[in-house]
Amino acid sequence: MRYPESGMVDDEALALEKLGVKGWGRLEHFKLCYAGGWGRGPQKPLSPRSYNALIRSLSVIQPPATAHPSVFLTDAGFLELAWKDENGKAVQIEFGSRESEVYDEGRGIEMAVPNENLPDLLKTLF
Amino acid sequence: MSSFPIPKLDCLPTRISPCPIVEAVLEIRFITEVPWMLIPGLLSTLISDKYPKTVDLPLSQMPDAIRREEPHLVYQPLIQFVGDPFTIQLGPRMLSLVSNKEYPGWTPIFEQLKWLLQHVKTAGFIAEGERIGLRYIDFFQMDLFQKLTLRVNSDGQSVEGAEMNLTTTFVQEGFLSKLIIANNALVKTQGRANKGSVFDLDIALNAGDFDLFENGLDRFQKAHQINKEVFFGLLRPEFLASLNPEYA
Repeated sequence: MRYPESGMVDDEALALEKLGVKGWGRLEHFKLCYAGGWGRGPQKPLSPRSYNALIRSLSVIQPPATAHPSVFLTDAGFLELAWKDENGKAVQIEFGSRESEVYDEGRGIEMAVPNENLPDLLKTLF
Repeated sequence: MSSFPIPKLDCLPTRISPCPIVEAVLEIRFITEVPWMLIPGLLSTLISDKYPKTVDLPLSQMPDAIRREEPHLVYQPLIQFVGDPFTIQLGPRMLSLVSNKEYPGWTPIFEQLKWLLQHVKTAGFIAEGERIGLRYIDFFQMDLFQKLTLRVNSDGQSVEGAEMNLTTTFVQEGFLSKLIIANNALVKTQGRANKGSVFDLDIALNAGDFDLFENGLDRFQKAHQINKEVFFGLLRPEFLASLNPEYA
């Protein structure tokens, strides 16, 4: 039994649905253990805005059923979502604190998008 | 998230008497790249004139490595800067301005917040705001559930006399609102323990919905407005009238 923090149950349910238990677990781990400084070098803490951008994007993204998106934390403190499309080509989205970078190898897309515009773009792409 | 219908009053009181507010907390959660051991010093040098007394809280004795990985401890304060009539609380991921003596009114709190934010910006330890929250805790020496427009029913009849603790979270004008109403509270005032009800309302915004040093103060103003709308909207009109409301 788990009681998420007030107001967070929809976000966690979304992460579980789109990322699976493993992906959800990694997100929770990043939130808890990487919000301070981490690593031996100049790694930055997890950006709350990056987390927010990821969650908002999860509500519109529909990766292929076989994609199993993976979630990573970059040295800049930004979350990154990655999966392979139906043709095995890489799709990566790095969620920055103010803008995000979208890379779709299969369609030759590589662009930076302000976070407020990201959900609309992702809805059309994925 | 579903809506929570709250009666909208044409006019909100500026004051009620006696004032039921036992605590008002304006909280900022943040991430930082500065080690915790440096943060208190960065802030205290800027605020020591108004907040001369520093108190280490019991949680500060817990090893950092343990405290950081306990979810319920992450946003707890480790140190207090004591002034009059406010206290500033500071932790590795949070900062709050607390009014826990006689409530001075919104304007003095807001002015103090403005002053504090200027110094926090100068101190430079906040990399990014994570959450802002405005929490007011009111105490009434009665069963408050009988005085609210919010009714608890069972089998079509109003529940009365039972010990109740209600917690609900809803979105009000884009702000996440967490409301706790309990009629089994004990509050210590003037050395005595008084039994009654608490109305505990926390209005918050998460990251992405505010920019602390750009519009943080505006967002706190709006949160205060919403807090008032929810609080006064949930009081039954006759109960509000008994609280000697004053209007601008």
